[in-house]
Amino acid sequence: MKIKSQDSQFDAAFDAQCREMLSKRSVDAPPMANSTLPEPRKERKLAWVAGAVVLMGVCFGLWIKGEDTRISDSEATAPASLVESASESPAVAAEGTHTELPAATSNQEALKEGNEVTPENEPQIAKEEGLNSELTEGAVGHAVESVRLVPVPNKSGLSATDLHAEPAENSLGSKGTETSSFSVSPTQKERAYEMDNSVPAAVDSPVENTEPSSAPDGNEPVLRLPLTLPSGGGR
Amino acid sequence: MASSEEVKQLIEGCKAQRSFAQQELYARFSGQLFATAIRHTNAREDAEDVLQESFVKIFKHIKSYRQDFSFEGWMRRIVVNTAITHYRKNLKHRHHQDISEIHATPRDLENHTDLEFTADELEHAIAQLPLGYRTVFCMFVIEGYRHQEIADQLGVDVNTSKSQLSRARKYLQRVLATLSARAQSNPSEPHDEGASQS
Repeated sequence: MKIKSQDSQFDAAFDAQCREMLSKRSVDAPPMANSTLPEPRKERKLAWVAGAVVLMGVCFGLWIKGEDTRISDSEATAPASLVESASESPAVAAEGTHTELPAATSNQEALKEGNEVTPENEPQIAKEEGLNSELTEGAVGHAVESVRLVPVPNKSGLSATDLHAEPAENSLGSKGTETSSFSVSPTQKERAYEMDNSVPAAVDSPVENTEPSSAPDGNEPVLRLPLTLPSGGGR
Repeated sequence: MASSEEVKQLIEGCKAQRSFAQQELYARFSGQLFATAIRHTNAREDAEDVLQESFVKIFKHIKSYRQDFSFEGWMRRIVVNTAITHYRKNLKHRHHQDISEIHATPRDLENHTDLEFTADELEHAIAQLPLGYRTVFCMFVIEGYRHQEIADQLGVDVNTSKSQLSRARKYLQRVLATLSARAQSNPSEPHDEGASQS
């Protein structure tokens, strides 16, 4: 091949000649390596494995979902006794708010059952009830600072704690403080009213003027009252 | 030379990942692509690596080939790009050789009036070029790249690509002119000076 020129076209002709000679030139190439070919079998195998993994995941998810559904169904079809007990149980219903409710209930029952009016304890009961009514009527919203709960030996079937009211500086009628609220039945109110009429001094200073039967010496007048603590507790 | 219809069938077979079509495609085009790889690499071993890597890319991305382009040109581009990547990887292990350091022909060939050379002589002359110059020359002259594309591929300036092409071209012309002049003065001797230089 001859290229004749010395001008600027020489380079273009030279390039064209080189392109023509080399572009179609072939050299004995080495045989194709095994790694050159893609491996469709391998890809297919990977696809199978991936599909199996996805299928297992779906099955596991469905199984988990079925378990959840089964648990929720069992909860929905729980025995009626369990549901009733859960709804009616005061301990469960008042959980966190009235934890002492069973004890209070036992106190009331003990009061009803064991605190029977007998000739021996009738005056004491009357005094106690009278004081109780005073606490309810006159001292609602007032505190009895000296009131403390003292376990008392069970004489008349009272298994609960009694209210041990010591003589306090402040009278029960003082205002500006808070106290526990008591629920007093109308019969108790009537009895207290009768006691107030019979013993007028007990109205002004019921604690000091009261001579309970449990303090025969009279040095330390102690008034024992069956107390049912409300939810808020006595302050 | 494979006809266009046979090439289309081979392409479809390769897209379907048929092993026979892939082997047939390799058998038909590996020679040309290997020659391209040799021109862009320093050694035959490097060219073999570039060829194998290029065919892996071809088989992997043949689904993205569009029929409106030349399939041979598409494959050759892959080979060139792979060779450039290979060149970049090994660039730090090589010493840059400037064109001025190349053994120049003693004769002043500026006044040559004609060139007569064979493909083998041209191949040998190109093989003597430094790798950077050789790459620019092959990309521009043989593969048809533009200077901007060459600059982008090699990460050099456009003017650098132009200057390297000009120097490589002048060097090849001198070498081939020397061979041509010797052949004219002594027609009985074969044109093997280029081979002896390499």
